[in-house]
Amino acid sequence: MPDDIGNLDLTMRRALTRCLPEHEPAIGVDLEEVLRRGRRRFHTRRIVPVAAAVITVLAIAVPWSLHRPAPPEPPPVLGTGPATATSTEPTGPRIPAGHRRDTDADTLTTYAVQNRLPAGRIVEHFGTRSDEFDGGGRYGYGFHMLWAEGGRYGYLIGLHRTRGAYPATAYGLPAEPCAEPGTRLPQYNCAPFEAPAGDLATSFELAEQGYRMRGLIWEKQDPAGGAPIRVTGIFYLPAPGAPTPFPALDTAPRLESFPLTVADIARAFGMEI
Amino acid sequence: MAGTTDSGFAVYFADRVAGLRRAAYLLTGNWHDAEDVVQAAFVRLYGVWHRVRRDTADAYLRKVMINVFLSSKRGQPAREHPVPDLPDLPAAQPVADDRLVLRHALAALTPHQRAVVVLRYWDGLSVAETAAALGISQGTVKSQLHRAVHALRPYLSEDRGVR
Repeated sequence: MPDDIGNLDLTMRRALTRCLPEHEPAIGVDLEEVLRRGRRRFHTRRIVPVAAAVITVLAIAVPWSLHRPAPPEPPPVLGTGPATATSTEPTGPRIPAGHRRDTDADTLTTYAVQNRLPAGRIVEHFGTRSDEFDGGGRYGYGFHMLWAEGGRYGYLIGLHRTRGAYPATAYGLPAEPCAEPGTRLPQYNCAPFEAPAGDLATSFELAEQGYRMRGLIWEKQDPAGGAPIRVTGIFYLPAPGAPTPFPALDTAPRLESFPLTVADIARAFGMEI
Repeated sequence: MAGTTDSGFAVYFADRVAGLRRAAYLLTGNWHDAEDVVQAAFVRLYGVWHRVRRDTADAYLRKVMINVFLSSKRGQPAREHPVPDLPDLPAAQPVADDRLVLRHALAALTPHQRAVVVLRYWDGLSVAETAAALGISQGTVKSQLHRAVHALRPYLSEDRGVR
């Protein structure tokens, strides 16, 4: 191995190229934002020395006791609790019974899921794991992301567990929107979705009673020969007041359109398409 | 005047943002942090755009990006470790993709080692240029490179047969 690496520069360049994901998300660095922040930074840098000089003169000329500044307001906390400032409720995510927050799932949400998404505005995320193994001998994992754009919010969720275990209803989502042709709910607009390795996948989209969902159910074969896996990926815009794991969604306005396509959601949760 | 400046900067931004983002990805290990680093670098460049010579803008941008990245890592213990894929089973699984293995190995380097590797082998800078960009001696660059390459070497071959 080490000795057969002839041209180190070339080998390292190739190795670094292989470190880049095959699918690059759209660029989320916005020129307008750069210009806006750049202008503010430029002007602040010009103003600060002048302001500092003025403050120094005032501090010397005026007794300090007359100008003691008020203590600063605590910074607002984004997306971690209800809008009421006096609330003493816990602001962490709400996790269904039988599940717990899990560091592996947290990490997977950060690296495996977010990196597959088009650059977006995920302001909070966490991962969950079931307390117990399911019938297929695996844990049920959940990947939860709070999406915010322009002061509006949505909830992207991915579930990964043995088919039939830990139904999505624990998170207020439909468990079987498109399981069998005979039981598909027409209003879910279920449609076949091309999945790798001949797996069955179905996309669905609904808008009713103040809530909207777009997502897919992927009946995934276990390459290791284990029990069939169900992967559920849904972008959820809940009705006001509907419970979700994110307290910020209790009162915040919903997004007016889905920021992700079904293909984006499929890719985010591991479908190579 | 500002319009001319902005249009010149916009052209430069459009030309460089994708490449810089890839380098930032190699440094940070994820697209979100990479974009934060890239945005911060362009914001700082824009603040001095009127006095940066075009032939040195790339070097300036690169240097700022590395500084932003290293500053973000300073005093911050490594809390997150990339993991290969969605878990199918609770037990530890063998990693199935050599790209991910390599990405892990890169992420396991220290931030300074990663910066040296990216500047030297991704951006193609010489040892002297890498040292100048990082504000360290050439000897330090060489020793960091040596350690980094030693750590990555087992994963460098493209036909390791782990797929």
